[in-house]
Amino acid sequence: MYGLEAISHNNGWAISVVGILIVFTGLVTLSMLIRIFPKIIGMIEGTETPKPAVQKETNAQPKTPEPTIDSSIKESVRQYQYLISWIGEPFSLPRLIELANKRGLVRPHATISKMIHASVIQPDGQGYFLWHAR
Amino acid sequence: MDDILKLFADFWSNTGFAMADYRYIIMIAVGLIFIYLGIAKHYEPLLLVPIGFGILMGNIPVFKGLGLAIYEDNSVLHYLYFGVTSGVYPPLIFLGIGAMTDFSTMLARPNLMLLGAAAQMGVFLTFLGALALGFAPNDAASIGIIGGADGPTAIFLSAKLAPNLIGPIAIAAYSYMALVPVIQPPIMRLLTTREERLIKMEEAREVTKLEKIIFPIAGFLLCCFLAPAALPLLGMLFFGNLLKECVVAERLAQTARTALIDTVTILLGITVGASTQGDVFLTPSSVGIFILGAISFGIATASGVIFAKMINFFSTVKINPLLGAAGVSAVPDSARVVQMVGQEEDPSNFLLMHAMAPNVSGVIGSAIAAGVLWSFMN
Repeated sequence: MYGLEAISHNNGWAISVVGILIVFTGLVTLSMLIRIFPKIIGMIEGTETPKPAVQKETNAQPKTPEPTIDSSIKESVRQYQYLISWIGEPFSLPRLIELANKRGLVRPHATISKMIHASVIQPDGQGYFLWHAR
Repeated sequence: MDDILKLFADFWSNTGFAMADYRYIIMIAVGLIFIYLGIAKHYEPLLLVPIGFGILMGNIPVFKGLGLAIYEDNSVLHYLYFGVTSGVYPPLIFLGIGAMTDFSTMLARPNLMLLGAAAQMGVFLTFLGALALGFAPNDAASIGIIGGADGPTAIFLSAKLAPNLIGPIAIAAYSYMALVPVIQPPIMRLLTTREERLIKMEEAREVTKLEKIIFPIAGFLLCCFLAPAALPLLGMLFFGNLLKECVVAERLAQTARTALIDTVTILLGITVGASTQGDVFLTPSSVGIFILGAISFGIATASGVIFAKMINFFSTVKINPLLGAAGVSAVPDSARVVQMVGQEEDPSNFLLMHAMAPNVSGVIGSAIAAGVLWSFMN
């Protein structure tokens, strides 16, 4: 016996539906129980419920941090500014690294990482990056 | 002179060279491939190296009746294999897994547990597929659990329902777990848009120590009251986690997640590998199991991703649908795959810790699914 006939003969549809429902019921119930853990602990300890997840500020525009260019990255900023002017903005990091390797720039990963920390290169929130050193 | 020649002839007829046939050679090649993938490619080496070498051990042709082969009652390998056939090894592995798992990301974002539940649809849809292909219900249930992407669970259920299929099911389950970085990404990219892959998750709240201690006790009681057949696996999982979180039994937790799990992994890997003797393993049903295993992984991944997209349809707070793929309980590989695919679009998007929530809930979900299938088949 094969195909749909075999499934029906062996009660496959019912076993699958009930099985999926039981798995979902178990994990949904467990997740609901976990949600009330903070309240239960609060009641036991007689303290306030811990704060929920950090709230996202949706209205305020995030401030763009000012780049801080010190002597250790000044030369790198000059070199990479040339590359950025060539590929345009916004740019992808893999493309920038590829170009840096082709141009023979030393240790592009470490250099780009320093420039990100210094806010010279900043993410645009869409998976690409912008250059902030003028 | 004749006696000497006769002795040489008798000796030769007892060697593996004289008793080998093409099936043993094929399986030895498979074992060598597993060892290569584990050592050279670093694909799940802790699993593939013991299994690969076990395949080599199991496919050395031996004279039956000398107590050498794994299926002979008085052989050493047979005694070691008892831990597989009796279902002893998988719960011990779960003890170690519980002792090394941090459930805090799941406790902080309990709604992500639903993605772990959705991925278990792969188990039941594969069960239907196995029935449609003509497998008996017990065999179909054992094949379906491959979709849970949990090796110990697959071995545990096969030992209970289809002991004759332990070898191919275990090999299929562990092989596809090792290939998660190959199987999942195309499905994830196919089912999501770039905008969806760019979604960043909110930072989760801090989880208190008391929550982490209460969770294994409450989780164990709830899950095992609901599905008592999952008691051996979930009991050991939550017990191991309690040992870890309570801190006062740190020595026991340390042993569980190091020496104990390593010892059991060695014995389980080598005996499962040795059980795949060519004359037992190379059958049409094994081919069917491998095909269904690949399909089950794909369905599980797709189910998780699609369910995450459905949640986004109804929810104002969007979750990255890539997290659905982490519901496949290959811990932590599928979470790493989510991180990798997410970072291909945005290197600043760190999804790994968020993906651990559905990943570990998938472990619980697959154990519940195994318990449910076992109770139905009994």
